[in-house]
Amino acid sequence: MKILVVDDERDVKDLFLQRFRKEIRKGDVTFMFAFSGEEALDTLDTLAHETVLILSDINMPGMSGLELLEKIKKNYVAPPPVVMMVTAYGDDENYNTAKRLGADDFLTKPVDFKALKSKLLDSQN
Amino acid sequence: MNTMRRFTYRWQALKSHILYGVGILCLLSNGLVAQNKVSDLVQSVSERLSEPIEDSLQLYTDAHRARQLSEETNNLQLLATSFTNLARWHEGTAEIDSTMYYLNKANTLFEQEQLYAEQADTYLSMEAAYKQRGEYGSALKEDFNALELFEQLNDKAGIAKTYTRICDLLYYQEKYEEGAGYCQQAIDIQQELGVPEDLAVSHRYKADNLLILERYDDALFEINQAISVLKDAGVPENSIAPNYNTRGNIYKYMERYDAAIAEYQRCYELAKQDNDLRGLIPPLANIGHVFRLQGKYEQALPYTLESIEIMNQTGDTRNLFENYMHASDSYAALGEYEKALEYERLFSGARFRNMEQTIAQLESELQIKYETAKKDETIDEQGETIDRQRKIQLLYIGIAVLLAILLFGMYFTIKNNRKKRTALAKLNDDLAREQAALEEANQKLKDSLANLKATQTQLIHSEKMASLGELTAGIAHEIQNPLNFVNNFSEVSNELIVEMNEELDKGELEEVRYIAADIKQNLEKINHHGKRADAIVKGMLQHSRKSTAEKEPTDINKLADEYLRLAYHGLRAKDKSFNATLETEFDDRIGQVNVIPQDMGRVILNLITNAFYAVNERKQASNDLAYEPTVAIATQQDNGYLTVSVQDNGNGIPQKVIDKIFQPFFTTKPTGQGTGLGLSMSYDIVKAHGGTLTVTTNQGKGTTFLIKIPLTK
Repeated sequence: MKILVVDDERDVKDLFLQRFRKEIRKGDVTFMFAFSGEEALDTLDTLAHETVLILSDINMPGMSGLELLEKIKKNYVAPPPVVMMVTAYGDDENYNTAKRLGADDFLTKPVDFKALKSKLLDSQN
Repeated sequence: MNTMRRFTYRWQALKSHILYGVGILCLLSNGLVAQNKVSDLVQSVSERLSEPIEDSLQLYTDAHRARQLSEETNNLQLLATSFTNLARWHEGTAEIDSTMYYLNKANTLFEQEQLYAEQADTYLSMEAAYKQRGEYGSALKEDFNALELFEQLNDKAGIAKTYTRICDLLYYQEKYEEGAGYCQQAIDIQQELGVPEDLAVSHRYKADNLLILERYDDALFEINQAISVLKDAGVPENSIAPNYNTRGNIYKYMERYDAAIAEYQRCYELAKQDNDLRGLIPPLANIGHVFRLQGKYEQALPYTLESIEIMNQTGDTRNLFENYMHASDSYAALGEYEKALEYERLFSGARFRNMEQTIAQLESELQIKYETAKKDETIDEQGETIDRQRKIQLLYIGIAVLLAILLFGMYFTIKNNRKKRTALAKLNDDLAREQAALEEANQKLKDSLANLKATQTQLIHSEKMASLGELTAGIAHEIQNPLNFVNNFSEVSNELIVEMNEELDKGELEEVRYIAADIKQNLEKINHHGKRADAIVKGMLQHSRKSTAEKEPTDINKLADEYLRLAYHGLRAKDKSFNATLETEFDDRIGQVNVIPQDMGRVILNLITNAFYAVNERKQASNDLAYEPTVAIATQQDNGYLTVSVQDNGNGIPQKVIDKIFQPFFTTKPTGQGTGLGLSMSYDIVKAHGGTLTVTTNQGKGTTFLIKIPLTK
């Protein structure tokens, strides 16, 4: 299963690689990283017809996570990727906007990696 | 038959003659009756005018009927008296012209009929009318006309009465010493004559003059004389009222306030009983004055205001302007400055009219002095023997010549000076007014400067707090990210150590080394993000601190990057829909630059916040989907200067406001959203670093602010 993590903080990459090192070693998941919304769209273009789970931050300079979500839900329909949104604020407005735009799930910072793991396993099954 | 017829004829003729005669007799007797009737009527009107008037309209009708009948019967004396009566009826109303009209008519007739005593009385009535209107010069002239007649008639009571009148007029003309002298002359005559009412008036007027001369005990003596003379004569209380008023005045100046108020209240009650409006004026004004002297402004005001109202109502305006002044002072003392100003204006107006009269008075002064001299001469002459008269005549001729020369000189001097005096008075007036206005303006300026300084301090503080507010949300976001990393990497490292121990047990040393490398990397990351959070907190503290800091070596690139992020997240925290592309271009050669970091940070933050505001404004106003809000910050080192540019692609700044943007308090933001101090403060900060803050703008394309400061070691 491919997971694309979108965040403007570069250390997120190392963090995810370490947090999921066992799952990665077992080959359960493959991680890809993009550091902006634009980069994420470029990466998605290279992954045509693959099942991808996208984990995106909302607050990013340039294209925001919500804009990215909107574009993904509009343009990438076959197969529709699962999109989880992450934000630092966790307020109702972002939550509702994300829901309206078709976000499949919603995570608040700081990310609870145990909960994230179980969610990922669920979506796999 | 013939005879008979003739007789009959004669009888008829005789009869007709007799009838004719009887008719004439009847007519004659009718005329006599009419004469008596007219005389009765005139006398009745005269009497009714002397008493408190009950039916004013009926009296007026009767007075006119009396005049008409006197005219029809061609009785000039009765006619003159009727005119006097009509004049007296008009007295006490504001229309002095009606009074004067009738008095002039009466005067002419009395003179024609050689009724000089009556003529003298009309002069006195004229004097009263002029005095009431405050035309003291004209009034004094009438007094001397009367005096001349009384002297011719050797009417001592008349002479004394006229002296008393002159005394009162001199009082109003502020010649108190002279006035008291005239009163004393009157008193001397009246004591001999035994005329208590006239004597009392003279005592009272003398007391008035002495009061102003601050001879309080003498004044009190005179007024007590007046009152006891009247009481001995059994005069009713309401006629004594003016004396109580004067005694009140004396007590007032002696600062025996309670005694003064008691006197005034007695006057007020008496005037109220008689329905005498004019009589209410002095007690009301005086009670107001006494309260004011005691500092009881709130109690004083209603009395003063009521007296003003009655003065205006009755046209008796002699003391109007000073009561305007009292009202103004009281309002000012009570802090009601608008009211105070209103009455101050009324005071100035009334005072001005009063001064006009004074000028007119000066014009008649010469003539009056001349006549005064002449009168004195005549009076003295009467007391002298013929021998002395002759000697004195010679002396008088000398004096007269001298006087003539003197008066002639005075006449020209006065005439000449009058113009100068008028001009000078006007000039003085103008100067005083201008000075007052200047002082007021000056004071206002001082006040507003002080206010401005206080407001400025307050606003600068508000500006700091406002930008701190903008920062707080950004800071919360910024600080959360490094903290997350610290927490996560430490947790993971913990797990890694457990794994490392497992591998050690297995003896997989290669694996152990990989894990150890990871742990080392994690510890570095923990350290890095910890420092990052630390820097943010320090920056926040610095921002809120007062700006007394020293210059210190600062990494400008890092500073700019930090504040860019803070501003961005701060704005997004407030407006979720806001977004912009951030572009940075940092010159790595710069290294450390000597600046006051929190001040320079504030400048950068301000410029970036403005840039975000500009692009957001453009985005919200336009429907152009292709528009991408972009804010770029770039640093550069060049020729010993550091430049920091903040660029946006907003609407640009209109030419008409570009000159003002660095002015304090100038803002284009809606009220309440900007203090108008951001750019002004930024400008000052850059200037304090020895640098410049400039702006270039392109309508519709965007704006660039450029900070340029010299690099100092």
